[in-house]
Amino acid sequence: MGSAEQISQLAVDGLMVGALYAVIALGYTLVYGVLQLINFAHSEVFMLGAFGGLFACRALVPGDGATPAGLAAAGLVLVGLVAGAAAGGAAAYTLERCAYRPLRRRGAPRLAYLISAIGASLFAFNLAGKEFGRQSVPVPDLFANRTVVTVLGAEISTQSLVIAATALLMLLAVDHLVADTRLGLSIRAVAQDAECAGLMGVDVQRVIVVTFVLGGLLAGAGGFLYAMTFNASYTMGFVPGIKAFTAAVLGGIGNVRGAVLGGLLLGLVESFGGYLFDASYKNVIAFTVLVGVLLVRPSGLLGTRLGRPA
Amino acid sequence: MSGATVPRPLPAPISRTIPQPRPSVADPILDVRDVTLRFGGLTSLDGVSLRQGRGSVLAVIGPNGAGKTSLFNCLTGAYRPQQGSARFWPTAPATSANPAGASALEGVGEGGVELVGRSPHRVARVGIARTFQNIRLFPEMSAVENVQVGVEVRARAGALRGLVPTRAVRREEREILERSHLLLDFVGLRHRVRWPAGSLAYGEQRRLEIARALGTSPSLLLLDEPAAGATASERRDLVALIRAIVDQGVSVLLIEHDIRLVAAVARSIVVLNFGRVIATGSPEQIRSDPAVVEAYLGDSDGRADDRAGDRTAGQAGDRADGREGRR
Amino acid sequence: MSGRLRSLRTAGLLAALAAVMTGPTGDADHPLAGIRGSLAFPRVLFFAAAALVLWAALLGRDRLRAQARTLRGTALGRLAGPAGAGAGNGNGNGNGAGAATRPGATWLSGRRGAVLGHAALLAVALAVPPVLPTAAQQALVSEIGIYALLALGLNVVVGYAGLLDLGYIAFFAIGAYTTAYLTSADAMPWHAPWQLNPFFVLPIALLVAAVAGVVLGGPTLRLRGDYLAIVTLGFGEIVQLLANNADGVTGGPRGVFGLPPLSVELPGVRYSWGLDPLPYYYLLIALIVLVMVVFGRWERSRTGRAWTAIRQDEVAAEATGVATMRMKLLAFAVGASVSGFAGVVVATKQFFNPQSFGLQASLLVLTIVIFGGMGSRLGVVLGALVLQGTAFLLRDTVPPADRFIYFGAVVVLMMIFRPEGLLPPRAHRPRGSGPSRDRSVESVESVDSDGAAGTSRGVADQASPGVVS
Repeated sequence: MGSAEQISQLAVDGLMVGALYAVIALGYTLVYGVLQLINFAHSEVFMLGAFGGLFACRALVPGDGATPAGLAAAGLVLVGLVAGAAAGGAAAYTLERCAYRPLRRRGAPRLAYLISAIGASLFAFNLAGKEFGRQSVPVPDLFANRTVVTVLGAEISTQSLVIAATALLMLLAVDHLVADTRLGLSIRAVAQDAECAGLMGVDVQRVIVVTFVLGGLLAGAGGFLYAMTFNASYTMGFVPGIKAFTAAVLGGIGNVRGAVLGGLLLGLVESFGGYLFDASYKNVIAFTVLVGVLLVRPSGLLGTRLGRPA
Repeated sequence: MSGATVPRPLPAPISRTIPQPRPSVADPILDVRDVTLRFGGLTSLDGVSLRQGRGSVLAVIGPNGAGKTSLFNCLTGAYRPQQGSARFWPTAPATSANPAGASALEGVGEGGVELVGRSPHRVARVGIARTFQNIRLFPEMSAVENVQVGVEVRARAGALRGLVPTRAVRREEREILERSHLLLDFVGLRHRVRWPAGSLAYGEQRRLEIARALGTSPSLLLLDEPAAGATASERRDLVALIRAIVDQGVSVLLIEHDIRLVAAVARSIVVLNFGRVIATGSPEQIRSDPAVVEAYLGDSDGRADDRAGDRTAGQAGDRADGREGRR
Repeated sequence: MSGRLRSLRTAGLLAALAAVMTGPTGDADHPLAGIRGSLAFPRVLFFAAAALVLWAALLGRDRLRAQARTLRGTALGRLAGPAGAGAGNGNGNGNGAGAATRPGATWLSGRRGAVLGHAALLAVALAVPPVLPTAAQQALVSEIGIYALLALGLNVVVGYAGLLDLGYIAFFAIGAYTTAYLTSADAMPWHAPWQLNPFFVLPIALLVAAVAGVVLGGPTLRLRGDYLAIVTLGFGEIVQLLANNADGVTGGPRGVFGLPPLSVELPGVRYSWGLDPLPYYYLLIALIVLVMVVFGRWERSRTGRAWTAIRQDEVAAEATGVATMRMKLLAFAVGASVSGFAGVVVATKQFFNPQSFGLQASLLVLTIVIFGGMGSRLGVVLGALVLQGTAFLLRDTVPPADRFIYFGAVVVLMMIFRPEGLLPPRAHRPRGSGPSRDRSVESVESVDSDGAAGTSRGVADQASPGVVS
């Protein structure tokens, strides 16, 4: 095993990626909460968000290749986040409208939703490949890649700090929204018993749409953050999608705080596991975690009720 | 339509049932002892014990949430209770056509078969069939196919042998189909043979569920609120149907809210409340049991149900008269 | 009124979608170029016109449906009386009832019609290919035939048992690599000590794939449907990853080539499948027919009914005595073995590498099953023919990379507009005597008032009068 610095570096890297997984995982968990369905196309919402943020940023960054300074960089991150979130939200809305709602109106069996979502996913990422090209596209450098803080020997760059801080803020915001607001209350009501919530005057249809869009906003913004480090490409959604799903299951699908916990844990496991074995087996590690959790404790670490206090 | 008035026996299962002695608790079919079921901190069943005589109807009544369906789920393997045992003495089917049942029966001695820890399909194979409180049919399959699924539990031809249509396989298929039709006939659904189960009327779906359960040639039939949502005439039919089932040597364990219906078919009743047995006895004993009146019937309701019980007897008489008249 | 507007919106959306799908390609530097080009001036007029035509079609369909509903309602109401009485007159010993199940069977609607239809299709399938150009023959083998076989296998898993397997192609890979291991000493670094004729590999690969299916299914089939989907998806990825990374065993990304072709060496008969696609085509036809016959038998047997029961209500199936876990494993293993079977054919015919076994291939098979009709054997074979055939015919117009846009769209559109697929399975087609599933509510009631009266009498008669307490 490596030195103490190495360990803390792995931990920091793991937590950073884990925070992103958590952000995406929230989308799975929220939708699962209200529909009891895994939204297989969520990974494409994430991908479209990444492209949205990326293109907005590109349009604003001066073409001379110079790194923008201070406030301008912060502004660009914000623009990217907002554009990413908007693209993600729009994609999620379209998805709900086109691939889910017609089936709900018909009262289709569960299998139909899964298949429809898979079709939507296939459609969306291949269309993105056609429209945006099939190469990996970098987000323009917004920061000089410089270490700003050193924690227990781990070096943290400005970019990592921005990503982690933003992700954390979003997680806190969603937790607050679900736990303490009126909207959150209706989401939880639909999650627990949609029929009953409907009778109590909750507009179930609206809550479902709002939940999808909320998950889309998060995934879109998360996609932009992810692309800042790992670039954007039309197939970028798949792997983080599976991992975020794993995170959601690990924490207890349908459980907001569980998704956060699951994301961070998975990030750590993957980071250390990738170091111990081989980086190319990171995906296998995440997948093993998924299968293990599903077989041993399918309700996850914190149980599966949306909004239930941890 | 009047040609249908000849009473028809419950068709013999592919494996024939041995004729039954008169029911008595000394010859039990089911002996539940001290079953306790908890969900987290919630105790759903708390030391429930009951004993059912072979060939009898035993009713389990109790207010909503008393644990009736939980008890069913423990008996049928859907839940696994933390404590307790449920012994079951299946009626021996003829062994030749029924290897699964036969092997299960080989171990049946004085102690019977333990139900706790068996998976649901193994419970069904040993001879316990059930219906569900909220009807669960195979909605897109036709009525007869629904019953066939049950009948085929006792079939010999497995997946591989069924591939080759030998004479034996074909004959068995014919027998299965025939028996399924007879069962539909038995519950009065002859005119719905080819209808998708999901398109039947509510009461018909309930009867189809019973036919499907009977298809498995059970020794014990568990009915979970079979009269829920039924009209008065459907209730009368149900009483007749349950009696006809018992006449064929199948014991019935019944969950029901309608005390009139219970009193019309069951000689003994077990009352559950908050997961405990609070009374056991004949309908008359239960009606006068103060604990039951307090816990379940309530003051005014109790009197109302009492009167209703009398009315049931009257209605039964009317029905008999009516039939005489038709003939 | 709002229904019409909704139809207009649907039509407009579909047309816009089609415009973008078929439009020019963009890239990262011009992300909007594709869409802008798609909706450019002359094109957009064409698609607007298409939207209007589609709108008219949608409206016409709705009107037809409404008319059919009222017609059927009255017809049923009139028919129900005599039909019910007829059934009541049966002697009730079961034979009568069995015969009564197919009263309205006409010459072409019964089993004979089905057999004749299949025979005609088979004749066409046998007669046409020799006159086609070689490129088309090639496509018939490696794009249509193989995928038809794969779709038949996946159809057991998805269509019969209702289990979503997204890693289905992994078994195909297992079959192909098993063939390489057993038939050649130099195609893969890892090989068996002796080499077998590929024909003997067919049953072995079938077994190996079936065992792999059981190994994967054993622990995972307990999971709920959507979890199963994602676990199988991961399984597919892992198999591909292993094939890619284990250079020393599989040859890694270089792939496998140079396997001996299929050959028959019997006394008197010597034949080897060479480079010509036609012999492979006929071999595939034979395999497809074999698989269809076997599955057809299963479909109508106890096994098929158990699968349907599981698909429709697993809890009820289990309570009715169906060994659900075993039946699901069986479906999984059967599907896997067909996939492994197909793997042998592909391995002996052409080069393959881990890229051949990606997620998209699994999804393509799924698309074919959905399009053709879940649970319908002929449907999925025709699905393979239509989808892959179209892809082949449009190969110069639509770049292969863009195909999956269309496949994705096909899946979603089928789920929305025709979930039962191109050719629905038997159970979904209207029956001879019973009503079809979507008959209107009025007709149910008219029939029921009749039937209930009859049944209440029938049941009451069985009670012995003396037992009333």
